[in-house]
Amino acid sequence: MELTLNDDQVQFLDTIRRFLGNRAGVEMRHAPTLERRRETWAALAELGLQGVAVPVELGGFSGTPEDIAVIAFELGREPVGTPRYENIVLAARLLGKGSGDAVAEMLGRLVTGDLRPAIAAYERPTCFDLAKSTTRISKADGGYVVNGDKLAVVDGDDANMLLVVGKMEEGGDLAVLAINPASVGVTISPHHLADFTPAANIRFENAFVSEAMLLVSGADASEQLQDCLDEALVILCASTVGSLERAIERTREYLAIREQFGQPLGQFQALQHEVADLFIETNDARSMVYRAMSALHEGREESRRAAAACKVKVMTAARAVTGQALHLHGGIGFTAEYPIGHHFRRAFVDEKLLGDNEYHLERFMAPSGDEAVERAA
Amino acid sequence: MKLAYSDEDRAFQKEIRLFFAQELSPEIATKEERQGHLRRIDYADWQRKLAERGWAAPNWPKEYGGTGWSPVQRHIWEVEYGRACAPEISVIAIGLVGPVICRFGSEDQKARYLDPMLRGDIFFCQGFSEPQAGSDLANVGTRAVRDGDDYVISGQKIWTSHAPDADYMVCLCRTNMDVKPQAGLSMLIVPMDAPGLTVRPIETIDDAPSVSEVFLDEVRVPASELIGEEDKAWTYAKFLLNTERTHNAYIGILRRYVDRLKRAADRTIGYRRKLAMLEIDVDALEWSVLRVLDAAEGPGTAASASALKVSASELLLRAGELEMEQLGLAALPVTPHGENIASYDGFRSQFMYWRAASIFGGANEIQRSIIWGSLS
Ligand SMILES: Cc1cc2nc3c(=O)[nH]c(=O)nc-3n(C[C@H](O)[C@H](O)[C@H](O)COP(=O)(O)OP(=O)(O)OC[C@H]3O[C@@H](n4cnc5c(N)ncnc54)[C@H](O)[C@@H]3O)c2cc1C
Repeated sequence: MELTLNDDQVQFLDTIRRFLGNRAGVEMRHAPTLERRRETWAALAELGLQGVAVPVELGGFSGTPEDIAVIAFELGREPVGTPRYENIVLAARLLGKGSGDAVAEMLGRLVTGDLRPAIAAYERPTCFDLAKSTTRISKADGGYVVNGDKLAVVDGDDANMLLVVGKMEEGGDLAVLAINPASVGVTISPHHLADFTPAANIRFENAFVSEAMLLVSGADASEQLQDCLDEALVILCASTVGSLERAIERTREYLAIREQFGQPLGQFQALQHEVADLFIETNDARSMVYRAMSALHEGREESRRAAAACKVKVMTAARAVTGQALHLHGGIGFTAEYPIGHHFRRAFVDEKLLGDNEYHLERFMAPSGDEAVERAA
Repeated sequence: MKLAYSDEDRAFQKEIRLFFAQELSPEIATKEERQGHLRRIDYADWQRKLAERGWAAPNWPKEYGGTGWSPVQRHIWEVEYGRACAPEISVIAIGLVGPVICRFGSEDQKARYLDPMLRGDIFFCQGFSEPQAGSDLANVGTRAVRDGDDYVISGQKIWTSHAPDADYMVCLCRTNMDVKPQAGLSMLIVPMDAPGLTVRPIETIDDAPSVSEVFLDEVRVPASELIGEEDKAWTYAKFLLNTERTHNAYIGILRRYVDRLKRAADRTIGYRRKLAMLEIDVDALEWSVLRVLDAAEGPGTAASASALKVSASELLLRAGELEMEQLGLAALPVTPHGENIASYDGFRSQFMYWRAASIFGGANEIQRSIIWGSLS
């Protein structure tokens, strides 16, 4: 795995940073408006970000997890108003599993920013094991009908394509389908999450989907879906690490200017050491992202464990680092106006997306293939 | 040292439990538990009931409306109060301004303020902190200048809790520029409707109304609103610190969390272990509280009191985090505050609020300095 960035990458990241920097601070205190979000979405497409995981033949860049993670590190630095990159990548990967002209066309529209996807996967507040999905997909004339209730679907309020995870009524295998949210039988209740991430609860009542929109299915569907999710987990973690690094910079900057007792707070050694501790935590968190990225190339057993471990490590660091960074700002840190609180809120939400720490710890502890056979014997 | 509850204490505990069961309205208890940040109007009835029973201010001297309870009885009260989900009433009036007036106020102030405070007819906020006087509170720059029979006050306060609900602010002001910073401060009672005073609420990460900025532009108050003597406020603040050593332990609230988390459906062994660890730590903290209540004054007590504050701020966060873990994705969606009592917004809001517990009431680093100072 190449850890050093090449010149092109550096330049590209610089463009993203400037783009985000120009927008930081705008509308910090409130959930971004729909107009603003659409604008950001279009601007990111202009930069080519939505297409990174899309195959070159379809107008994308056929990016590797590494290409994607460096972008996620960068996007995570500004915690408000930037789309969650892991979902864009997840959508590209899931669509990539489908076939036919209609799917190819959707991937093309993802690249141009015309397609706004959302992943409708989880159903109950503390159940992140998709094998327990209660969403039913039944065969119907010319396609399928879907029934189920989905929770906290990120960007689900303004998506024009929903990727729905459910179980085939026949056979009970997992499957992923693409549904137009404007279809009959789809009800969307929009809200936003504690960090201003737009979301929705979505109900499917006999919602019809044509045959061609079945993306992932068959006996191997659950493993294929997990492959995509593991990559998405690592991307999410990369953006969280970006947020932590920015939070530390902000804390250091603040302590340099904030004076109490006649001197900048940054001159108190107690506080210098506390900031150093934040760096230590974050440093290991970033390393864990590299470790998990490298494992994504190493076969399922390794990548499953590494992705789970990465989520736990990064989110544990995130909670501690953003909380302490907030504390080090004093009362200012507690305000909605000041950016540090948003890093904290974002970390709070990140920990619960794509499965919380408790779930991934359990996953990590679950015996792997060989061990499971041995124990059963 | 005798810390175990006596038969009398047990009878007392029974008596107050009965009182809570009979007098505390379930609607208010639910609101307090699920939403937090209750407003004055929410608990007006409850405060009146407490005042009628003579229990509105257990921390005050008996002659001014206190209860005369022993320290252990006051502790029992606090724990039961928290567990019953009774809302804390008039925090600043009962906890801060009242005791200072009882001890240092004029007869006229006692007559005008104490009784209405107990009944909840008047409500106070605390105007100590300023943009440039946070941890370094002695750096207060708001000036009060004597002009005939009045003081004229100009400056800015920040982080003032409950300001929009308050009738008065107890304002820490600089009255003397010629002495060392601590020795030139005074406490004045300022009506919130005085000309020249404006309140601007601050939006905070807990999405709940809590703190404000208060601007004072040549606000005029009669000199009779000075509490005690000019330039003595630092001494009064220290007196308060000594009388309110265990309040920061939030033991009642912590017990309430433990009760609630144990009632809720648990998830995994890992979760149950974390909850058990929390309960063990809360047990330990409660005994630290009892030891401080029992101890004679001295440097060790100051260190223990600061230790309580730091521990409590950490336990409150852990409790809140466990609750968030137990709620999972249900903790994420935001509905406007107070709109939907059935949602989990209030639980999340309280969790976010506890993020400030390491900051307010003397930030944890300042407490650590006190501990270090007491040890050497
Ligand atoms: C929710 C909330 C409610 C509040 N309510 C009130 C109220 O009703 N009335 C009122 O008057 N005030 C109130 N406060 C203000 C509170 O008392 C101050 O926020 C607190 O004293 C810290 O001051 P600061 O915010 O200026 O932080 P700073 O003093 O700027 O501190 C920033 C950080 O530096 C650390 N630090 C500071 N000095 C040192 C040092 N010498 N060594 C090492 N570390 C140091 C602090 O621990 C903190 O982590 C409230 C605050 C909050 C958050």
